[in-house]
Amino acid sequence: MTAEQVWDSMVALVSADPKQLKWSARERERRELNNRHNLAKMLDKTEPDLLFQASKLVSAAMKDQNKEFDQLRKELDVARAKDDKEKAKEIQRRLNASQRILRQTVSRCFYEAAKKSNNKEIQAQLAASAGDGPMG
Amino acid sequence: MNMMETARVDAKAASLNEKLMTRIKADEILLGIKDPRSAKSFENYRKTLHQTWSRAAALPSPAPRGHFLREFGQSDRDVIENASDEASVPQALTIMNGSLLSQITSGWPTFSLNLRKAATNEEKIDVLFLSLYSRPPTAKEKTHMLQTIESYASNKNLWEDITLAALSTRRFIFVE
Repeated sequence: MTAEQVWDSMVALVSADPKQLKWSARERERRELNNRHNLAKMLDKTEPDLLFQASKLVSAAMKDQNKEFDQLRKELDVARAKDDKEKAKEIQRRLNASQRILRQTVSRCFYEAAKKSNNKEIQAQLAASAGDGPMG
Repeated sequence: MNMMETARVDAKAASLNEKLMTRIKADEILLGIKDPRSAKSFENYRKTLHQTWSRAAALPSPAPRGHFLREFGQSDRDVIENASDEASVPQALTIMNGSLLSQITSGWPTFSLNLRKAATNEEKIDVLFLSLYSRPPTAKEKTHMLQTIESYASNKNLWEDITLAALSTRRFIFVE
């Protein structure tokens, strides 16, 4: 019996509906793809010089983040060498946060570029996407 | 502003279809759940169950390291034909100590509910065999099981222990 067969047998013991799809993960993927698709469409219509400026901002942010990342990695090595678990945990948390902040920075740079565009279609799309959500 | 934030899905906030809600309500009665708070917990349990307990085909492949599937020989897909059906010590430890198995024997899974529905020990043994081995017990097995149950009647975790023992047998692993 393969691992998958044993696992499916156990799923049948727990779930009232073993054939139920992992719908929440699929829905999340669908939404993410949709968001990226929308962003890509906006970027396609944004003026090249605005995109160039955004790329330069992203580049600068990435350089800063890389420096911070290297510094944190060194601090993590020191904390691990000293077996300071609390410190290592804290640095790990900061490392994870810095990755998230970088992703947000990249999104923000290109979003701001799209906002500066003179293309009315883009402005309409931004307004429609924002709604009451976090894009506003 | 982060567009990724909007992609989050809260399974607890999802509405359930009428058929599933009817079943949940029936199970709440079976479990003796009366207060609204416990009922909400049970409903959330059912809504979020699929996040852990989905069929292997619906899970990411390969599963993360340490997942049941990987411990039991799922391929890491680094090279072809990399799955394994060899028994290992971590597998035994997973069966004995893993949190997943305790979820099977806890109060709310389908198997536990079916055990609850069975009125007598004989019926419970039938449920156990049909659920785990897809066949009814032989007369010899049933007699042996009833004797065991009788001798451990004071054990509060009797059926949890029996289920874990039954799951740990080769009979569960092999298709007869």
